[in-house]
Amino acid sequence: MNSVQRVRIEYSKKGPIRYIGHLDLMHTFFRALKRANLPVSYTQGFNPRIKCSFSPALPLGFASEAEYIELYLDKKIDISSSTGNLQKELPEGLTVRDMEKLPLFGKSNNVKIKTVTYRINLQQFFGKSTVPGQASKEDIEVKIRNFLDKEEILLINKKGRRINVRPLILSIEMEKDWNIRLLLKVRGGFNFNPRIIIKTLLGVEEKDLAFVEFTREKFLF
Amino acid sequence: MEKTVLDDILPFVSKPGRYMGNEWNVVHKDWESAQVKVVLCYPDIYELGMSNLGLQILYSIINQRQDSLAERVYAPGLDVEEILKDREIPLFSLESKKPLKDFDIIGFTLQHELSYTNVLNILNLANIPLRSRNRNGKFPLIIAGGPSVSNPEPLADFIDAFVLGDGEEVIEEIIETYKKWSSRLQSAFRNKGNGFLKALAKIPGVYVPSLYEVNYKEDGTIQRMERKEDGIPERIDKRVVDLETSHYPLAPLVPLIDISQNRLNLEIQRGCPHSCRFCQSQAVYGPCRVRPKKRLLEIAKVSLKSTGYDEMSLTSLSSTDYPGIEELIGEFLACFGKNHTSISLPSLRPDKFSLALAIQIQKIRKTGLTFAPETGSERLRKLIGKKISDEEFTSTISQAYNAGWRLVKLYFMIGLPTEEEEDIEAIIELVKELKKRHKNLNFNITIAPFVPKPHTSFQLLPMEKLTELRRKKDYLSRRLPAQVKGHIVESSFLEAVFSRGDRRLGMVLEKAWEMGCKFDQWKEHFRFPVWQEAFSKCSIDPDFYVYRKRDSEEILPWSHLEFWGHPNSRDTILNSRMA
Repeated sequence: MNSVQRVRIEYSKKGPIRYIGHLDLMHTFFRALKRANLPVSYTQGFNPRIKCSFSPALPLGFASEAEYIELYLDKKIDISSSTGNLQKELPEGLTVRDMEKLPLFGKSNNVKIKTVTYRINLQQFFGKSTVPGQASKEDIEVKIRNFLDKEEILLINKKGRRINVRPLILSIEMEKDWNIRLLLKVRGGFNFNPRIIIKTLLGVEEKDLAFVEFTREKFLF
Repeated sequence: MEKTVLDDILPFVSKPGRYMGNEWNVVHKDWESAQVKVVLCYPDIYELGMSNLGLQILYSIINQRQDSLAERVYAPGLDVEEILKDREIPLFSLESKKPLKDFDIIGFTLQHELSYTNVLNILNLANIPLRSRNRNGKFPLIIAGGPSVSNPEPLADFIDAFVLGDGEEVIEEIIETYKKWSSRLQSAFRNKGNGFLKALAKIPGVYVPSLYEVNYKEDGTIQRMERKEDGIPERIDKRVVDLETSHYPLAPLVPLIDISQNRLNLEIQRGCPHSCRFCQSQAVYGPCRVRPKKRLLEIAKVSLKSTGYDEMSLTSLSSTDYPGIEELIGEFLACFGKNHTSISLPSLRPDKFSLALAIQIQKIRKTGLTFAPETGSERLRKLIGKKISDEEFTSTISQAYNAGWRLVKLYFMIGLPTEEEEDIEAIIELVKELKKRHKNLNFNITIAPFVPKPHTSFQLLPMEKLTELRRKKDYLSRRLPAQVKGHIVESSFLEAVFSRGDRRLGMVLEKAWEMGCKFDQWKEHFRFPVWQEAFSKCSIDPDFYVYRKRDSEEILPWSHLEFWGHPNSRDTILNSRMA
């Protein structure tokens, strides 16, 4: 069957479900779509799959305020009732924030993403951290300034490649309530894990990051 | 969202998805208003435990009752175990995050003998004394069911009551009995007392080991198995339910992370119409009963809707023997195929009929093909009761090749009774012949040592010596033109000890656990030298249980437990001839 409609679902991911990885999350959504009885389109061929596109993978443990799924449909749907139907079928922590129609043809919005903002909350980290020299906001601000003054910041990404991330960092700011706001460039859907950046910035070990709360706030197109 | 003990643990854990208890269709019942609180435990990792159908059935039955609740726990990973110990957090259930100690009943499923150390480890992590006699009425009642209960004696000191056979009905009877006694259990004496245990022992299918006493002869074999109380049965018969009416979960739990059997599990048949002499499943799951087609269609319709699964497996010990399986599959495909739902069958009998079904199913989605010819020679196959000729097997494989399969999984056993070198050669010749016919056909081959199991025709026979098994396995791995996966022969040896052993093994089990053994089923955790040390520290010779040919008059550790089917007289003769 040919698809007759394309929709974009915006959802947030909060609470314990942020420990569900990208692939598992996709399956969780596929099952929810099936339970909600949405007329999703399938790809042709031997192994038919649901025709859809997810926004760039969210690292394990990150909360998010706005993630996207673009979905092709075999039948036109009523947006408002479908939103409710889908929400009923989603596990706790996944919330549909919006559903909108997209033009049937054309590139996925997900490849048009230019920047992404993260909120990194350090409150718990300071409550529990035993790392010396991380006592005040001023300490952090100095660290941020020194970090941004560098022309080159070489970090190893997940695939083990060394990358200069400095050009990717648009800004890092210390804000109220122990929040750091990080603005990152996204290139061709490629999205560097901010954990690695924050770990280097603070000069701490991976295990010290356990109580740092990462939230993806929004994508800018 | 409410903060729980989890929030402080999850950030440090390698697989946090295992511990969240937020699966789709999870049941959260009010703790205070439930009179009987049961926690079901699969003593291995989440990914295996969540795939188990038995626990899904019990979870559903118990939670359907007004007066009870069921929650779950699995063996925590080593990283979580360390955190729990470090922070002195007792092991808790996934749903309410309550310590296991706060439940009324803990129900273990014993899927295989190598999970026994995990049972002890879980009790310990829950701050519950391991041995029944050290637990008073303050502690939960500890029960266990599952296939390994076919000989539960090695766990007799740790488990209060074993449940033999199908659990659907007996679990409710246990809950009822518990309810009647619970006020008295909490009385001033806080002692479980024999009255309660005796009441349990009177439920058909329930075996309370502490009410039976075993005496041994000087040669180490059993002299007598005696009842300590009047009014309890001398022999315990396993429970058998009617599959036409028995409960089946319509909203099974759907995990949010990937597990080993991540699909809708539709049990179409229980038991097996074949009677392979080596196979214990017939005794454990028999007699062969079918779930009616109409009922299966109803279950599938409702539970596909409630789960959102796009694949369902028609499971049983031998699904292609389901009467009218072709019509069943045809109707399933007609009903659900258009909704992009695929159907899979577990391991197939290597015959043409089964393959034809696999081809029919494949129309929707390509599934793997697995056959268990068990052995290479027709003579041996006949002897073990697997009635498939070489001709039928090879032509089935050819047909699979012609239908487009390029990878086939095969299971073989080594160390079968009367096995000669030529039988081992026959495996190689069989596979070579197939490779010659079909150059592009590849095989994944698993080789497992034969373990003579209780309640089978071969129960009296010794297991083949480790050195021989090792040699045969290595030889096959070298010579077979295929990817070969071999079981660790030492772990099969341990499996044999515990499946054929008696109560005295409880000591060894506890010792091995103290010395750090757990997750013995896992290659990376299995430490045979430690086990050997544990045996020697307890002055128990494992060979006694494994290599000794038993006399047909001998009282076996499981002689008082009645499973399905009896090794018949012809087989007794077989046993003596094959010694």
